[in-house]
This record gives sequence, structure tokens and C-alpha cells, in this order.
Amino acid sequence: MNADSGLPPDVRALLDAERGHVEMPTAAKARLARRLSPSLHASAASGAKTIGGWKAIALKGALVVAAAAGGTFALRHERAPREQPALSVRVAPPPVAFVAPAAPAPEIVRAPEVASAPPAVVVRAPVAKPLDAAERLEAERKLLDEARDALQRGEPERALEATDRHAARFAHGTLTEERYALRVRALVRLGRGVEARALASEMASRFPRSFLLEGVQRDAETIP
Amino acid sequence: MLRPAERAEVPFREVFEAHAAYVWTTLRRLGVEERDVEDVTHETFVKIAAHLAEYDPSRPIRAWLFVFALRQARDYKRLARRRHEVVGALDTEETAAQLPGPDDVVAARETHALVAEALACLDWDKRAVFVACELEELPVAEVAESLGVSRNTAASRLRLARAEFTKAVRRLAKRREQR
Repeated sequence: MNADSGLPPDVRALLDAERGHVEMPTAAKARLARRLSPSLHASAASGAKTIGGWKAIALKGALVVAAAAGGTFALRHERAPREQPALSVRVAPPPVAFVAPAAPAPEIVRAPEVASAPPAVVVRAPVAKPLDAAERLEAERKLLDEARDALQRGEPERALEATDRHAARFAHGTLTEERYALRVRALVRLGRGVEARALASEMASRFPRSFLLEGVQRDAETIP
Repeated sequence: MLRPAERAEVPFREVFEAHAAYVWTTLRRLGVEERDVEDVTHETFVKIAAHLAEYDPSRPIRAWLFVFALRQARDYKRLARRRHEVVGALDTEETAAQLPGPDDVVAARETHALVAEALACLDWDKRAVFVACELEELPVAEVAESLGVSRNTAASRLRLARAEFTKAVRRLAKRREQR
């Protein structure tokens, strides 16, 4: 490919010989296969699944691998904020009535009494357990799979809705790049070229090195 | 370019089986040390798994995989990860088991060692372009895009890398003759 390389023939011959060199030890490959086995098994089981289905499995596999590796790899660029921080209300004097938002009866815990002060009552609203990193990525993935499936069914409005929900819950989520890509694609399918290009441009500035960018920009340019 | 929905599925297992050694070897050529290459290969494949649905099968998969290896090697260099202090003897034994038959062992080992040593003489920027263009035979424009530099910058690095690599090979070969 680089025939005009300017390399002397003997050096070029050296590179030609090196090109076929394979360095990976067999045992190392087996070890890697074990470490990646969730992804590999998911792949084997995927059969005739769609791209969306495949991606779901691949991501799930990556998740498991990341978790097995200490959860520091695929998820490392985001510190997951708590979805719904536990609510603790301290009031005096007691009793106090507290209505938890959309929740079953609140758990009332009597706090330790303090001398010369009326006993405080701590009311904790029962809240959803905060998602850990793996659950969070899984939730992100589900939303974006929904968007992807909607696009495949020819329902770009629904795809937009799903990406809206993803943006509302995971504004800076791990799969934000994917959300951008899906939104641009949905906007293109809806013929909203100006918005698609604006979003593609925003994605380019946020994720200039994204693997998805080239395809997104090309999609955005397909309509006037 | 095909839209994702129109692309054929590429199973991760097949990609791993067919190209694990390629990714491993590429990472080594890009400067990932032997003691770290297994972990970095693992991390590279985790990323590949996460992005596989975006792969366009109409394009050469090795060029696509190379970009992952390139970025992983770049991150590795930036982080200057040195997690192990000692390289186990197992590595050498395993590598030796991968080499060709007895008649070719010495020649193959010497060729590889010479190339590896000469590559190590290049700084990372030049090394990345050189490996991509001369060993992977990727177009300069594509390499420039992957590295996030202009085509002129990539071409300039390649030109310098060729000169430095050739000089290093000459010097190393001469030193070996003198042994």
C-alpha cells in the first residue's frame, strides 16, 4: 500500500517478514477467552438476533466483564449519581406528618433522645434502591435498545421518545454517544434535517473521537 | 456506508477467535509491554464488544480493530501503567511455543527481535503512524483520522519514522554482527 515508501528493499523485506509474525501465546488466548466468556457465550447464543439484540448482548457481556474486572473499565468515565437520594427529614416538635412522594407508608424511626430537647422524629421516605453501575448501564441500554428497535420498525417518533427518556434519566450516561447517534438517525427519518445536523455538530464537539461520528454525520447530510 | 439496521451481524466470538492474536501483536508493536499486553488486549476486546454493532462489514475488519488497539495503546502510554515489576518466565516459554518449526525458529525470532527493537527507538507518535502504514498498510489519511491529526502531520511523521527506523535497523544489525 505504501509502495513509494522510500524504505530500502532490505528494510522492506524485514517488514514483510515481520508482518506475518504472530506473538500471542496459546495459553494467553485461552485465559483471555475465559475472561471474556460472558461476551463470547452471549455471542454464541445470539443466533439470529437483530443488530439491536446483538448489541444488547454484547453490552451485557461487556458489563459482566467490567464488573468482573472490578467495574473500573467500561464504566470508569462516569461516576453514577444516586438515582433518588434517600430522603431524611428531621422535625420538632413531634409528631410530624410527612407524605412521601408516590410511595408506600413511610418508615418512621425514632431518633435517640437529646436532653432538654423534644425527641426528634426521623422520617425516611421509602425510595428505590440506587442503581449500581452495572444496573445503571443495563437501564441505559434498555432505553436505547427501545429507540433502536423503534427505528428498525420505522417508528422514529418512538425512537425520539425513548432517547428523550434516556436523556432525562442519564443526561451524562455511559451511552450518551449512542443516544446522540440514535437521535440524529431518528431526526433524519423524520425529515428534520436542520435539527439532525445541529445535533450531529453538537455530538462532534462533545465526542470528537467517537466511533459513531462518521456515520452520524453522513446520515445527517442525507437530507436537505 | 450502510446504516446499522442494514448491516450483517458479526458475532463477537468469531471476531475474538480470528483476531485476538492480531490485536495482541498490534498492541505489542505499538509499545505495550509484554507484562501488560494480556490485560490491555482484554480491555481492547471489552471495548470492541461494546461497539461491535457499529462495525460496517463492508470495510476491512482489521483496519477497524486496529483503531481500537491504537487508542488503547495510546491510553496505555498516557497512563504509563506499570502494574507488575517482574516479568515471569512463563511469558518467554509461551512465546517460544508460538514460533514456527525448529528450522525457522532462529530466523523468525531474530527478525522479530530486530523489528521490535527498531520500533522501540521511535517515539510513540512516529511509531503509531509507522506501524499503521508500514505493517498494517493502512492509508495515511485513515491513520491521520484515527490519530486525530492532519494528513500532513501524519505524512510527516511517517517520513521521519521511516528514516529513523531504517537507521535503527542498520545500527542494530551492525551491533549484532559484532557480537
